[in-house]
Amino acid sequence: MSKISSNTSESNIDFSKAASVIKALIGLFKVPSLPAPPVSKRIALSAVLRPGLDYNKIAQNIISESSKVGVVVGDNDDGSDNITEKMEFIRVKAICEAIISDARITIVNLPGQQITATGGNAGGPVQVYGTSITTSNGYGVIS
Amino acid sequence: MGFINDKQDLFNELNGLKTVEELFPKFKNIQKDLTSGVDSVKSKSGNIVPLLLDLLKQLIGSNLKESFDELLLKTDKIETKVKKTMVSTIMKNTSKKKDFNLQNIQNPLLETNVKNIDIEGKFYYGKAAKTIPASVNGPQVNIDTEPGGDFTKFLSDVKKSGSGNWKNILNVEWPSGSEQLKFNIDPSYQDGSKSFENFLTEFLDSVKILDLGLLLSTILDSLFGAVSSLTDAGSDWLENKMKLKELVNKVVDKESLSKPGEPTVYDTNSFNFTDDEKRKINDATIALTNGNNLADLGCGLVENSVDLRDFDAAFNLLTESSPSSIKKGLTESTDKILKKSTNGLDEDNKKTVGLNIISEIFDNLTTIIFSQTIKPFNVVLQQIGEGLMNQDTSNPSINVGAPGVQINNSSLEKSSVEDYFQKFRTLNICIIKDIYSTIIEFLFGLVKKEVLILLKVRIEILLSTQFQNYKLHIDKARELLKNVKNILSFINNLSG
Repeated sequence: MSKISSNTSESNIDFSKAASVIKALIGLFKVPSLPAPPVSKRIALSAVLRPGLDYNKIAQNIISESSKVGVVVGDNDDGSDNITEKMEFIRVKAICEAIISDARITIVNLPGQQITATGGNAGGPVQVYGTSITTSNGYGVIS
Repeated sequence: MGFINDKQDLFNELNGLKTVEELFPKFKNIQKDLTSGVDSVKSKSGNIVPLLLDLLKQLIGSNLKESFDELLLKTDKIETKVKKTMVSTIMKNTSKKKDFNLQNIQNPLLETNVKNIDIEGKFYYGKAAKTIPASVNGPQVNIDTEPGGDFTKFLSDVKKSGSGNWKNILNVEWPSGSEQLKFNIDPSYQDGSKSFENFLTEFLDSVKILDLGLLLSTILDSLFGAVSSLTDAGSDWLENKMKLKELVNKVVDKESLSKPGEPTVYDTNSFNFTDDEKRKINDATIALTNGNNLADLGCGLVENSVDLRDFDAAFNLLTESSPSSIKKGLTESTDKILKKSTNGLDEDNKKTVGLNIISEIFDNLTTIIFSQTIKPFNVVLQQIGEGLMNQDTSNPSINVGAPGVQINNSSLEKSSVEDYFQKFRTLNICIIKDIYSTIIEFLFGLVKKEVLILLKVRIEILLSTQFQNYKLHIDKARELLKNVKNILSFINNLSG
């Protein structure tokens, strides 16, 4: 009975083992994480004036974009309704409704937020300036 | 199932990546042919060469031939690895220290029957250095300088002359008409200045294992039985090649499917053939003997044989090449063979058949290269190693020339190739692993290069999308503020 040890290359991939090579291959396809640039406060504040999700508008945009890659849009040749377009509306509507009614947003305020507060004691009113030292949570809804 | 699912995931990742990029018109160079149900994904075999080839086909289309040419330029790396493995395995098996001195070793170092070093039976059966005589318009195949082979040719000469010196390393005696050979170490190794490891390294440096000029003949034999059909080697020789292929597949399968970091355990039964395997070997041998092409040309095993005369020009091109241009010659030869093999087919089929032949070559490459090590140069070393291991070398007066292993050439149950493979299985498994892992590393490098190109495109798209989103936020905010301004202006007008 003979025992043969495995040989691992400098890249830490054991090219004699299928599992090691396949794992490395799958790893090749992983796109590095690229965080999007943060949205400024002014832009975030303007969100209050946004119209909210409109599934009709989304579905129209999808149909309009799909026609650019060759998807047939409009009524079928025999004049019947285009089921694919209808399905697009149904799908987007269901997704939007699920997001609006079921999605939950949790906000975390980081420590270090500047605060200004007023209060009072026997001596009279007191004004406080400072920074928060813990995180705090908040919730939101998508509309 | 995890193994197959992982392979499927691989193709899903690739297809997902390609689909995303196809939607962006600026990236035109992406292949359109998306496949996720390829056979290599469903295969339970541990050999992942077909999987890597399928990935490459998806990534680079039909340019596999160029990859094969590129690999040929790197065979020196395989040869170096194999030689190192041979030295370390012999040293390990003989339990000799690195500085083990040959000063007190008594010649002959090895005295053995020719059948114990001639595994393929070329000397024993009188088939050595067979050269096909030129016939009018007939194929001319010269196999007298076969792979590994300068040493084989040297032994062939010694058989005629009775004795000879191999590059001041070994002196060989082969009395006329005898089947017994004596291998004596050259006196220069017995002056106390050189170790046993020096001897092994210098001997292996003096032989060429992968003779590219003749690699092609082995490739053709594996796929078409071409050389064997043109010589009097017969079906035994071909059957041995098919057996070797099965043995190599067994090692690759077991090694590849075992867990990384864990040693693989083999026992003596590991390399015995089952009835199914015997039938498979027999069928393959019969097919090749009949001249049928074993390469799956895309529509199953084709019945029509490739005309052996078509290979004539390719062989001539090789035999006429100088050593320095042999790689170029080999590349041109495979080009010619591919061209001739696909003659008469329409353009689409021609492309598919050419691609499948190159895939078959890649798939058989571990066996093809491994078969170059079953030559006298290696077997002599192994026998010397076995001899030293079995002898009490603390007593320098003992003659260590007895062969370590008797290769069974006459058994009806087991061929000499099987016998040799089993008796030196530790070395053979290590060599197969070295060759297979080098081929996989090479193919992995090709896949990696192509995937990185795709990923570069993907990252460009990602950055561009993020920038567009940011711009969209600003535009949207600007539009909303404009609306608010308009409303306020309207209210002011009303109140005014």
